[in-house]
Amino acid sequence: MEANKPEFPNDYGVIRIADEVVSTVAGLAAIEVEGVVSLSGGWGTDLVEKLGKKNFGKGIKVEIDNNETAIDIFLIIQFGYTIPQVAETVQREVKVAVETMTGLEVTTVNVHIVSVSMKKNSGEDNNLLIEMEAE
Amino acid sequence: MPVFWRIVLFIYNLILLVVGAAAIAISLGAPEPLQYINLVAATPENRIICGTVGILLFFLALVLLYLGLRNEPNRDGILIDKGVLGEVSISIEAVKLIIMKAVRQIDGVKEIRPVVKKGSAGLSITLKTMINPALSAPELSGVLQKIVKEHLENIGGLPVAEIKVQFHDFNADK
Repeated sequence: MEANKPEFPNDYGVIRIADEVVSTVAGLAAIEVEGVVSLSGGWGTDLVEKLGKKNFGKGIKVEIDNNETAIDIFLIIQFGYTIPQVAETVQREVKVAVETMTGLEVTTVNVHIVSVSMKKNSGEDNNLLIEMEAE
Repeated sequence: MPVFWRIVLFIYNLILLVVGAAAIAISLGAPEPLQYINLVAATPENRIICGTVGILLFFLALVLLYLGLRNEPNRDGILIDKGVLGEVSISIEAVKLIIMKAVRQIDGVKEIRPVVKKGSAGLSITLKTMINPALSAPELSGVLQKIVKEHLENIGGLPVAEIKVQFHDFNADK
């Protein structure tokens, strides 16, 4: 798999970009979109984050093959926003951010809405509460 | 979690069940579990077998812990849109949350449990509800169907094929 990773050679050597860098860039771009509460990294990642280790790449799966990049994003959306519009904006912003910052070609950005929440600030807590009610 | 590891988890839970039962039996004063433990430690061969099983169970526990904690992408979502940039999908749980938040606006609904299924013509939804007995059930069911359909189509862009309303109980508490 490592052989499929993109390399950018220049006069001084080779530049390689790790998947984690791409996921962090994508995560930061996605969270800036209006209507996105947070990214969903699963309860294990959320627990680690609560313990103090901030992870901007959580809830993002990156597959890089040669120069082509496929990104899957798992989002929690704010209630009231139109999901297709928010998702399309996320796709556009993530594609632009990753292509601009890394030089990789983003072929697909798949958006998965995993939950809906009421408020941006207390989104995760509120979401947990509602999920408990749903069960 | 892959099917193989689900079977392993099932067997692991059975072993834990036996260990738990043995611990309870010891605490109640039953001598049999202690006799078996003494038997395991009696000969070097038995200790080797016991150690091997212990190592195996230890690594199985680590693998199961990893499989439980890792973020597995949810592929069971409902496809909302498929464009040039990629797909947009929504999980069944998120659809349920949209329904619950939409229904909160309606007075007289005491409790709601939505059941959501994917169909070829759109979503098939069953709303299991508890309502205030002072209200008209047919009237309330019409309001419920209208609001849920509107929310799912406007917020989620999700086509709704049918919405069934089941009143399973009444509750007059405020």
